[in-house]
Amino acid sequence: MMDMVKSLLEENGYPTEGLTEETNFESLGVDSLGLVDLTLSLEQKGYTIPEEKLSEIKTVGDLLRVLGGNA
Amino acid sequence: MNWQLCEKTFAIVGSGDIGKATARALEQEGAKAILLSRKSEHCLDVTDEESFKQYGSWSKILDGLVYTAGITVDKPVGLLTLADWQRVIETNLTGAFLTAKHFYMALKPNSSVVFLSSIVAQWGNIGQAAYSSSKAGLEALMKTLAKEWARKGIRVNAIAPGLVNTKMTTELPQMVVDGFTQHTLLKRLAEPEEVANVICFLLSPLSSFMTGQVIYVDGGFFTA
Ligand SMILES: NC(=O)c1ccc[n+]([C@@H]2O[C@H](COP(=O)([O-])OP(=O)(O)OC[C@H]3O[C@@H](n4cnc5c(N)ncnc54)[C@H](OP(=O)(O)O)[C@@H]3O)[C@@H](O)[C@H]2O)c1
Repeated sequence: MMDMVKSLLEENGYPTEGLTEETNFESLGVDSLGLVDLTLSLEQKGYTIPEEKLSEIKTVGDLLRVLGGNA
Repeated sequence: MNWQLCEKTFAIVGSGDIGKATARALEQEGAKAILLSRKSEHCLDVTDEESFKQYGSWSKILDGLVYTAGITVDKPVGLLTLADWQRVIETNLTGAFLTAKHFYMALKPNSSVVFLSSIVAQWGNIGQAAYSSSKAGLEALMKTLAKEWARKGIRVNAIAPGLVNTKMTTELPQMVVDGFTQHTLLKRLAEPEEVANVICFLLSPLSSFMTGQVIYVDGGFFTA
């Protein structure tokens, strides 16, 4: 799952060097509109992120948890 | 002039006279044009969100998108029914929103989106409350998308033609057409190709620093 998030970030033009579960999306330059773009990319890959969960996602680990990954 | 459209792919929603003229112009430049509408090979009913799902897997394949789908129900407000109003808003405005929402992921970074508005968005027009309101809403949608999508280099603009020599205008009473022509500096209607040329310019990298704009293709209507 971590690999998938990494390639998702790369596809959307964000840096991924040294990415960990603690990495904050803001530190990668992902703002609220950027996060929406990431969730749309995820939707195309078959994952759904409920809108109400969006505001809870601050770090890579948060995203993995929402995706049901083993963070 | 090299329009830099060769081998690029564009989706055109609405396959009426202006949509077809745009497709022809793009193909002449060596681009691929995909026409989408209820009666097109690529079927799409912009009033039915389900209809967009079949294109949900399109990912970063489009260099541009043109929204030309549009209808009008011309009646004075006193005679316009809620159903008339809703039908026009659903196709011209809600359909444009759904198109933007569902084709966003299909757009490449630095692509270009063009919406077909009309001079009546700013001018208003007797008998066109629904149509002119839908186009004014469309211009606000265009400006919002220009702001939201600039981060990806996606440019979003609108074209506001005056009357164009199309099926839509042959259905108008001659008196209305004459009134418009009289008020137009060039004293004639536009041909669909004249609108298509400006659409191609906005789709082309030649307009690379233009976004959030409404371009009038009106023969000088607003100047008259
Ligand atoms: N003609 C003018 O004088 C003029 C002036 C100013 C602005 N405009 C604007 O320019 C645009 C194009 O005009 P035009 O003259 O080319 O119009 P047109 O010949 O009447 O074509 C309109 C197109 O919209 C499509 N459409 C209608 N409802 C649809 C739906 N529910 N889903 C998908 N497609 C739908 C129709 O295709 P299907 O029937 O196959 O679905 C048709 O091909 C319109 O937005 C119009 O408001 C036109």
